[in-house]
Amino acid sequence: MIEIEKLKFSYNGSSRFELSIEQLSIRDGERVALVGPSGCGKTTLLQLIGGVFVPESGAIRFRGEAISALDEKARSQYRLREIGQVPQTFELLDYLTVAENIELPYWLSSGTESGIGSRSRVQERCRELAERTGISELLNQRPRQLSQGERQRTALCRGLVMEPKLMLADEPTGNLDPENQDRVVDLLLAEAARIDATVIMITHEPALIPRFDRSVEVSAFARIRRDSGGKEVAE
Amino acid sequence: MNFSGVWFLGWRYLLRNRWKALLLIAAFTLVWVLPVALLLVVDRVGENLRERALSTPLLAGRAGSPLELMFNGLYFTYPDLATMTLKEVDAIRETGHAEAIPYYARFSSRGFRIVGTNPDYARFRDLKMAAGRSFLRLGECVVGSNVARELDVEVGGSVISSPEMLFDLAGVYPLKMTVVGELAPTGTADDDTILVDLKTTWIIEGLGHGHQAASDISAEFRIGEGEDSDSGEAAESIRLGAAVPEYNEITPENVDSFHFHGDVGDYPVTGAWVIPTSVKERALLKGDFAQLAELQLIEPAEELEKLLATVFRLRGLVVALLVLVGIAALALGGLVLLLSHRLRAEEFRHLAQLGTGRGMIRALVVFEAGFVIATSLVMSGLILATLNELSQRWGQ
Repeated sequence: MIEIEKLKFSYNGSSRFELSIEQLSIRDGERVALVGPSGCGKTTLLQLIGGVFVPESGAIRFRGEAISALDEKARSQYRLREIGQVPQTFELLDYLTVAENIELPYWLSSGTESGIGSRSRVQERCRELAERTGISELLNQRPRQLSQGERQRTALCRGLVMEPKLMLADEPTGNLDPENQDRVVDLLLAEAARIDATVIMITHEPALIPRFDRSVEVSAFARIRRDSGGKEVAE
Repeated sequence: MNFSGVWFLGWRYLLRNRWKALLLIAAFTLVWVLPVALLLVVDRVGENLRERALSTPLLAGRAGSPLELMFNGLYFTYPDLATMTLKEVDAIRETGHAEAIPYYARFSSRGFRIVGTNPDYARFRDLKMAAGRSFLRLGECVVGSNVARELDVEVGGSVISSPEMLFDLAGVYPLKMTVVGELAPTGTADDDTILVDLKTTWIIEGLGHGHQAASDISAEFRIGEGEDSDSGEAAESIRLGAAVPEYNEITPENVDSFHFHGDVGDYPVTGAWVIPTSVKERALLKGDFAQLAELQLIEPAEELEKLLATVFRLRGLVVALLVLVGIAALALGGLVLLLSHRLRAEEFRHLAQLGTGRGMIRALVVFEAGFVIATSLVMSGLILATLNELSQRWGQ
């Protein structure tokens, strides 16, 4: 479970932007769509949950562990251990092949206690995901040789390869045509369900929202004003 | 620190950008190698030159460039030096101040110098035979170890002197010489020489020759008959023309027919290695030579030091310039690496977001520069070790 209480965050104390959340809870395995206009703080909220940013006050807990109280190194390990990320702009490394990009979290987490096991297990998982997402023929290619949809599916596989407990997807369909949008969201939700992961995804596409368990809208003033689930209204 | 991750990502990045990395490695290697190599090679060559010069007390020759005489006496270069005569060498010996070993180093065989001298040279240089014996008779030669290897000759084989000018009918004709010995390797210029008796070089030059007995030569080569002009006696003599066929190989059968016309004392030698019997005799001999305008007596070590002093001054200048160029090259290389880092800033930001620690990011940042610098240092070490080895041979 993710729990956020009395959270306040601004960039270097700036008064132009302030994210304020009174209370927000997300259950394990829940699928949540974060919605709201550009610049309202959706990405900032994802990064706070991911431990990239530290709130000025309040607490963020993941399965009871106060993420906001961890030091930087521990937060990095938390991201590697618990979180799979799917960014909007794919963020694939062009000097790696598609397969190596998918296995990247394994290389980043080598030497830590996280991960799903050996290299061979990660390779096997990479092949499975590539098979299910339809990019198994592309594993030896470079990202620049792929279409936008193929790149996003590669980024999705990378986010899922370590079987994370929490998937954070920052508008992963923003650069895709409607057909690919559907395909990527279907894959994300199906694979997350397969490993019983919680999903928090930012989206601007109203048509995609019904596929989630609920949506959370972040206001233009960076305040969560409505929770479609009804209870965890943050203001 | 996640070393396997750093290695994986760093290495993949370098492989993907291999040409840039190779160029940087090559540039950095040159920056490290050039000044050090120059210092190393000049030092090594200087050492080798000194060693040979110090083992040669004095050198006598016709007045002229002392530097050319030094190189001729030590390395048999400058073959066309003005010559002195055997009489002049004998005169040195007769002073009692020193032993003098004459040599004539004008001719060659397929690029290897033929040095006419006497068997004392081997003792003077402490040369050992690897096979065979020293030269004793006309037409015999002893080859240095490199000559034996390069020309693929051994004892019992032969070498032929190279004609000086291919179409010079009045010039030097090739002489076939029998190899009777092979020198053990010395690591000096002696490995590249063909040692013969002084008279053999005079035969190559055409000052001595061998042919059939005059009485057996057909009339077409005779230009007159009459009294022996030299003795003035009434004995019958035959005068032969220059076209009479001469032997181009000296064999046991024809060796007796070889002879020299005129006074051998007037025959040319390039110079003489002079070994004074004491420091005092050395000073006296130098004093004697100071009076002679047509001859010079040099101390090879002294001449060499003069030369090396100039070389070292130039070396210092060149090294200073190389260091400046190196600093510029390093600055450019640093700029390339800095720009490369800037281009990767987004990648590092994203890796950090995925959970990569600061230590690993820093390691990835320095991996490329570290690899380039480390590899260039290893390459430099290998090149310098090879140069060190080669420079010993060049020095010789």
